[in-house]
Amino acid sequence: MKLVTVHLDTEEIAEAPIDRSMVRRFVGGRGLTSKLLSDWYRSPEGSRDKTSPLFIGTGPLTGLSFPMAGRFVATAQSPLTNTIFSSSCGGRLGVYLKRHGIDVLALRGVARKPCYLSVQDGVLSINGADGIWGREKAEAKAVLRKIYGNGCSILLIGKAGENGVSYANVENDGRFLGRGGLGALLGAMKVKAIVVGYGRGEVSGAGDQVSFLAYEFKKLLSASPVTSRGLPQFGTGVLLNRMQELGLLSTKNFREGAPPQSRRVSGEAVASELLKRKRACYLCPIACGRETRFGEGPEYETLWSLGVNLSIFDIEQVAELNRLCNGYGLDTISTGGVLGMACELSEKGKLPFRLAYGDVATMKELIVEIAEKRSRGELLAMGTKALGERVGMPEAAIHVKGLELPAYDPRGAYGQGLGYATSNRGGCHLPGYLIGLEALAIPKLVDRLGIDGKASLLALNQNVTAFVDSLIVCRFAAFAIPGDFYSRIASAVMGERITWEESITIGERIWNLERLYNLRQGITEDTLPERFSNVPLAGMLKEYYEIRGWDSSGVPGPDKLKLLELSTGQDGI
Amino acid sequence: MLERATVGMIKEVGRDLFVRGLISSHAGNISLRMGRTIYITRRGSMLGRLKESDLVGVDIERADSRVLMASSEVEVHRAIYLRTSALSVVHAHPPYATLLSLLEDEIVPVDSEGSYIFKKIPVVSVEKTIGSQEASVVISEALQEYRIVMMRGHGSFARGEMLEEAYMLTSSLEAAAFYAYHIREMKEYRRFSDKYKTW
Repeated sequence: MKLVTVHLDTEEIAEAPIDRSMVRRFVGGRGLTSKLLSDWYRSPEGSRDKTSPLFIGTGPLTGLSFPMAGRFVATAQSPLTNTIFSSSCGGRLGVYLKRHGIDVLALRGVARKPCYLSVQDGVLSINGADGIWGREKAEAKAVLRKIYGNGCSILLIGKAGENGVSYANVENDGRFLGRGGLGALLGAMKVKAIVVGYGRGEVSGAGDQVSFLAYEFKKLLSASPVTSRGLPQFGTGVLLNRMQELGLLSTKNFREGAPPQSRRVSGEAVASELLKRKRACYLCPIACGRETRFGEGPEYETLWSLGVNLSIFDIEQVAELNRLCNGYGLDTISTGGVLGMACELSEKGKLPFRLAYGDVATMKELIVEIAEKRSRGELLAMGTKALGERVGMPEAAIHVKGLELPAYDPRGAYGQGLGYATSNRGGCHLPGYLIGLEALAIPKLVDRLGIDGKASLLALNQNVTAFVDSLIVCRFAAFAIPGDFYSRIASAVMGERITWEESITIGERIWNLERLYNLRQGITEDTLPERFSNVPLAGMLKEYYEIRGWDSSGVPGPDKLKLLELSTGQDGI
Repeated sequence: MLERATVGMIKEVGRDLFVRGLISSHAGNISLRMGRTIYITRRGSMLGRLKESDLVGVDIERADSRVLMASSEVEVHRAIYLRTSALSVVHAHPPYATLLSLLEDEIVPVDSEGSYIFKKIPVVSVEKTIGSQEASVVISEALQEYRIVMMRGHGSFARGEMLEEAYMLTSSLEAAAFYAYHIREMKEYRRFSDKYKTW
């Protein structure tokens, strides 16, 4: 496996093999890039980098003919949360990098002037970004396509990233590295885009057993109503009505339950009123993506964050807000979180301007001002945590570790609440995703307002997803694929036996590594916003630390680190 | 102290195991893991008629006097929890699966549901089949790779995230074993891919 490092300040490009034992311990994707980040970026002091390195990582399945696995991850220290942050994307960039023989691409330092990277015919170059920096994304893409053709994969940031908005996202082929402000990091590095040609190299790892597993994988997908009907027919928005019915959807910055008219911005509404065509990531039979009259999306989280959350129940208006965020390169969840908070602050006279729930026209103006970091947007561009501190109202900032919460109200699903509190990347629904158990009966339904055993269930699911993110299979596969399946895939593609239990241990190792990184950054709290004080967190947290083998303040002890082959010298605090 | 809903769930699964004929009156055992505590059914309890007092909380590793009341298979359950990520375990004596375990080294389902769920079920064998150290080792080892395992001539051990899942596996195993056993008498039948033997 090959690691290619681009030193942006010196324009030096270095290649190095990735140690086989490191791959055995961390697999690829999230695990491997987290390990590299942890090794390379120990502290701001003593480092020659002005910013965190950013790693783009592929997995052992990337580029093979395997469903839902043509993805890649990006890992860095988040400019929004300061935590370690891995994000997964369904664009084709990873597949194309792999065909060029690049397994991990690392960016370090800050370029002297705005640039973009290109990989063509196995050659990586650093190019001046004069014609694309400061331009709209659509214009920038057109310029790059003119140079490199329509067949290339383009990863790029929008104006929000260039301007350092702390929750700016990154786009690749209409899919997104949505959360954590990785767009702001690329902007700080002065990297506008990465363009990768189709590539002709052969990706190794395919074989008879991999084909058999791919076949069985697809059989299971087609046997599940979630992956064979719900998501294909209505996209991720299919979740909205279910969550509303269970009382898991809130409005007005988590101050009220979502009203019945939320149905007007559901997946069904997207399908009947907006849809142009369905979009699939590379080799995905589900095709949950929606291409609408307003471009990509809106997806479930956005239907909530820019719709229900802001009391906007006109599907076209929600789609327009989504289009603006996508165009400027803003994470729609965080943007909706910030706007929802701003409405509350305005009500309470804490803002120097007026903003009301449902006021779409002002929100459109604000999205542009946020992305351009000017006027009213300058204040809102910092994210909810910093905004709450600035205006003296932290209780209105609905975040965990600085990351705005998504579309599942933890007061209706206690395990999900614990998931937010303990997530290594902050207020995110994805690590653990106990909503599967608490609301969707996947694999079985549990009492969503009970706490018995929730912490143990969550820790197990966090470990499994860390492994799956390292093998790099789309999270939506978990709606149909049981946990033991992934170890069999890993064994087949990596050419050595990895038992089911070993795969969970690898996930646990990654989870602990991320935890250690955050502790090193001084991030120690596992809490929920004050607004959710009725979630019985304390009891669950005690069980959580216990099953993780951490001490009562949540620090992994020497025995646990030894068991996971994580050394305090290399990986610890 | 367990929540009422948790106790209710254990009682229902115990009842279902008995009603489905997957255990005799005083056989089988059930456990859950929460943190470092295992809640396991009492030694000699009737799973079909469980009461809250039939559930015993023991540490996952450390010996204490509460083990006096715990199921005779407690060491097997402990080994499973220590060596795997299981959060629930169901041990039952499903008749057809037990019968097949005496005839085969692995059970490969011939029916559709069994094939989707299991692909195959390993059969392990030891001299002392109940609650022994050697049984703990082979069962917990098999459950590192499979969701359910048959102890030859004795019964099944299923692991799950949730109890319902471990029960489902036990119940589905018996259904699959029923078909697989009876079809042995037929000369010709349509088989699934031999690839399932590689699972």
